[in-house]
Amino acid sequence: MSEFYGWPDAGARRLPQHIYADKDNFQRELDAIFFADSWNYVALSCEVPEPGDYILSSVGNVGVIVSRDRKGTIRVFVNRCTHRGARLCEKRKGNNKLFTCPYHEWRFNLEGRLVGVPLSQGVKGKGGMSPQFDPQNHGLKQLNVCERHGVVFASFSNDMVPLETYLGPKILRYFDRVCDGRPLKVIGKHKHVVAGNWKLQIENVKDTVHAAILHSFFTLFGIWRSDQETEIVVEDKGMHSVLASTATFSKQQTHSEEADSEFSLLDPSLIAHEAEFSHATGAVMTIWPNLIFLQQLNCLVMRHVEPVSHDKCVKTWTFFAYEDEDPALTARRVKQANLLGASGLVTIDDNEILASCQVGLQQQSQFECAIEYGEGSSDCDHMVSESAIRGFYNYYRQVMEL
Amino acid sequence: MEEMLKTLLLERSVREFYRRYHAQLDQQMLTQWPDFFTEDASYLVTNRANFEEDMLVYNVFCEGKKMLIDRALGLQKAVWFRDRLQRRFAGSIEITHQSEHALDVVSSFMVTESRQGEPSSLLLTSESQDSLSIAPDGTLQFSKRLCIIDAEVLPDSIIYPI
Ligand code: FES
Ligand SMILES: [Fe+2]
Repeated sequence: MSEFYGWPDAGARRLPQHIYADKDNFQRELDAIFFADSWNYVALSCEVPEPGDYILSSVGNVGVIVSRDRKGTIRVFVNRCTHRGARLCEKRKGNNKLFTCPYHEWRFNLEGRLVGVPLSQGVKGKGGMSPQFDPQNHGLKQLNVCERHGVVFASFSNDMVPLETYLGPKILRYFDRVCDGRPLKVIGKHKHVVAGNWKLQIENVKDTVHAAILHSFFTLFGIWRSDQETEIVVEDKGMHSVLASTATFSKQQTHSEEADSEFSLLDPSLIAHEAEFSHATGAVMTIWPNLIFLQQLNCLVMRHVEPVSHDKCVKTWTFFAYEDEDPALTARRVKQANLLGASGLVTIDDNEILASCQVGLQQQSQFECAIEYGEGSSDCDHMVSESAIRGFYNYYRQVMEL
Repeated sequence: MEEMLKTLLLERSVREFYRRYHAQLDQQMLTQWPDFFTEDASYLVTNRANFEEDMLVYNVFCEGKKMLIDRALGLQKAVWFRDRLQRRFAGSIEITHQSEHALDVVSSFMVTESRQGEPSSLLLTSESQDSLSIAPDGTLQFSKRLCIIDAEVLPDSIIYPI
């Protein structure tokens, strides 16, 4: 398959199947996107509140340790011992003074420096580390880190623009709409595999059209309908976007001819929404490359899409709340979380359809997706446009040189 | 002797209750599923990591039979997913506490799934920490079912109840 690497003439209105199906393309994405000039979401800073606290995360398909050093600075290390490459840290979270590798017990401090090498002097004057060995050169691989209002991003590039510039003013406004500097707390995590390319998942939340068609649950209860007030905001280069929409909570009259598909909730508290933000009842933001920052009714979630291989990604949903909020509001978030995640009443559909797309896209027949709803790749005031997807691919083609 | 017989009969009816629960779910009888629960029962699905950290968010969080009925109907009428066959295998089923009208039961089980004729694969292994109520006629129902799945990363969506 590797000869066909062109891009169709129609630009971002056509997506060639190899970007989903080809293993080499996946490897190139890691280098050109995840290990290059991108700010990658890794954690919320409230997950590592104290010095020595750490949590495992990932940048691209590389496991990283997000930890807080003795001075309180958040650091992000590649989770790999510099001796023989063993995974340094196995527990998903904890508190440490030193990271000690299980293999030969090399020890790294919270600043990532190699501070202990057993048997470095040998035994009885014999053996030990060679005189050329300088521990200074064997510290943990450290990433560039930035934080805004409790959200932590990391980059393999040391040549990054500030996050605020990276996001641009239009996206920053939506970022700050939810993460405005109030202390956050994590209220739960879901993690699950999606049997599809990572971009399918990102596109899926840039795709306003499907939301009111595939997700019958949304349309039935007027949470996300094609006729409701909507704003699509696309960052100028196409990297990031927001789909913001205001629920009517009224049933759609014309959705289906079969009265059979109708049902009412016996317990409407499942979707009982308390308005928290100035406009829109849901804002789904995607931040290049792989963060979905989701506010849907009262659910606040960082949905991190880890690219595992060309045909598989892992979604980590970090549900959060404000630290000192009313417990009644937290209770709403907990109930509404039934809509999301691996058993979510409006997520199962997505997980399933993405797996189904992956199957189709792997059938090698020079297939191209048609991204023809609407025109262009900029902002929109209605729901029937794929402009955010075209924006994403304009930028994708640029960094992938496709 | 009589005590022992009573215990054996109780254990038998608990095992039979779980067998029927699993068998009905294997047959995807969603409409009947809420009937295994009392009116104010809770049905909760989480994983070990969240459980140990006392996280508030569950994979599934149903409080009261009404929410169970909504979920069962929602799955049938409002959620799109590919056909699959599932099979539930019960491991140990242990009565950990008993009183006249209620029981606590800890069980372990696994669920396999075969989608559209593909070979079955393991969907999950789980513990459950349940409370059962005993009606005067001996009928058992969950007043609480809490499933704590082992895996932190689930291999796929968990669509049908467990
Ligand atoms: S591999 Fe880590 S100490 Fe040898
Ligand atoms: Fe969706």
